[in-house]
Amino acid sequence: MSETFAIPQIKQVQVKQAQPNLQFLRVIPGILLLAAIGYAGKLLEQNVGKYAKSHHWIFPNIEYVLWAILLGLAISNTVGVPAIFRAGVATYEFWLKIGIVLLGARFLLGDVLKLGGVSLALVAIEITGAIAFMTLLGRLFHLKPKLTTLLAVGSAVCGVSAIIATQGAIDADEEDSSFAIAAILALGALALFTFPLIGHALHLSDHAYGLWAGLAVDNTAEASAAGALYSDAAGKLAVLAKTTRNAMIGFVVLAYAIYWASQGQAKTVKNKAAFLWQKFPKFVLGFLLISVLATYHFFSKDQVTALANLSRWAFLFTFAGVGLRTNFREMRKQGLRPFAVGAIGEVVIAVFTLGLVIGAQKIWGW
Amino acid sequence: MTTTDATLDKKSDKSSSKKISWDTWAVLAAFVAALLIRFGVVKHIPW
Repeated sequence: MSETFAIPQIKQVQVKQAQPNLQFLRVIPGILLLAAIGYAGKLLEQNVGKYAKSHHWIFPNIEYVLWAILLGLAISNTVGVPAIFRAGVATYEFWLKIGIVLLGARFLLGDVLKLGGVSLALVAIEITGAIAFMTLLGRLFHLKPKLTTLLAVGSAVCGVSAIIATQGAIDADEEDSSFAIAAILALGALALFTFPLIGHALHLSDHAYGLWAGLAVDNTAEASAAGALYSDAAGKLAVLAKTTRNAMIGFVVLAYAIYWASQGQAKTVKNKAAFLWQKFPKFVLGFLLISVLATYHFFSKDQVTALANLSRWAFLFTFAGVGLRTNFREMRKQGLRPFAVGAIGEVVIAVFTLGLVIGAQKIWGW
Repeated sequence: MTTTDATLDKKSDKSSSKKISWDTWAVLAAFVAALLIRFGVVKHIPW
């Protein structure tokens, strides 16, 4: 995963530029904003439904996830995010990873191995199919080869983080990575609203829907949100499937780095094991370790509940960040062709993975 | 991502190989929280 917080729409998010002792201070306003929006989302979930019911209005039950995203979107796309908040808002990925690690307490190791095994098989098929299709699409649309590589990695594996990791490994242009990131984020934002609707229309089980969201939505934050928007159980499964996908990032980036080095257009990878370790998302290991500890009763039942609640709070910050960093006006500026390639690719990948999940659902009878 | 962002990301990618990544910090923070809960320093997290 990336080691920096990348937010294309919110300019100049560089915590690193400040002195180390000032970095902490710079992120506080934004973190407080994430907390305020997340908590407001939670309050709205609790109170809007009650208010509507008391006034005999028909109003859909909107969960805190959607409220937090909508509030963030409203701010980002109207008044914008003031500079003082940007560094802190950019920490949303940090909270996401904390949330995922802590979520490990809600999975017993046996479940992780069983579901992870199924996910791994589906992920392998998804990654192969997505890379092949996106590469073909890039050629058809005459995109630059490295931009095609970035879009293929972004849609096959892990969204923004994968694109940033690949950009460094294959010496791609910064402009190309901007295009690819904008396309992946725009499509992720669309998935947030379309996936739950499709899932409900097809009457997918929580299990099937969660796996589908984890396989088809590219960025980890959006995949987690798309799952949680369906149900709590679907959210758990979406995170597990997406985490399995994230675990593949090093291998895919390494393969591309070797390919572009063989073409004389990137640096040769000298130590492949070190390269894999550097690119490997460490939170996957944290998730597994917490799951092992929970399996062997290191935590009591009440403590598992506390960890799960803490995980929910961390996700709440993330969902607020997803809304705040999504600016449709900025996305439109990035150009149509990469977006078109991304959009066609995403639709095909979504249909393909939906077929995979429905097939797996029939085999395993979820 | 702006060009400046990407440039800085690239620079920081090179320099960050020696530093602890944000990814690792997130794992450490999660484990500290888990240990605080495990050893009873934090007893209850409301939702």
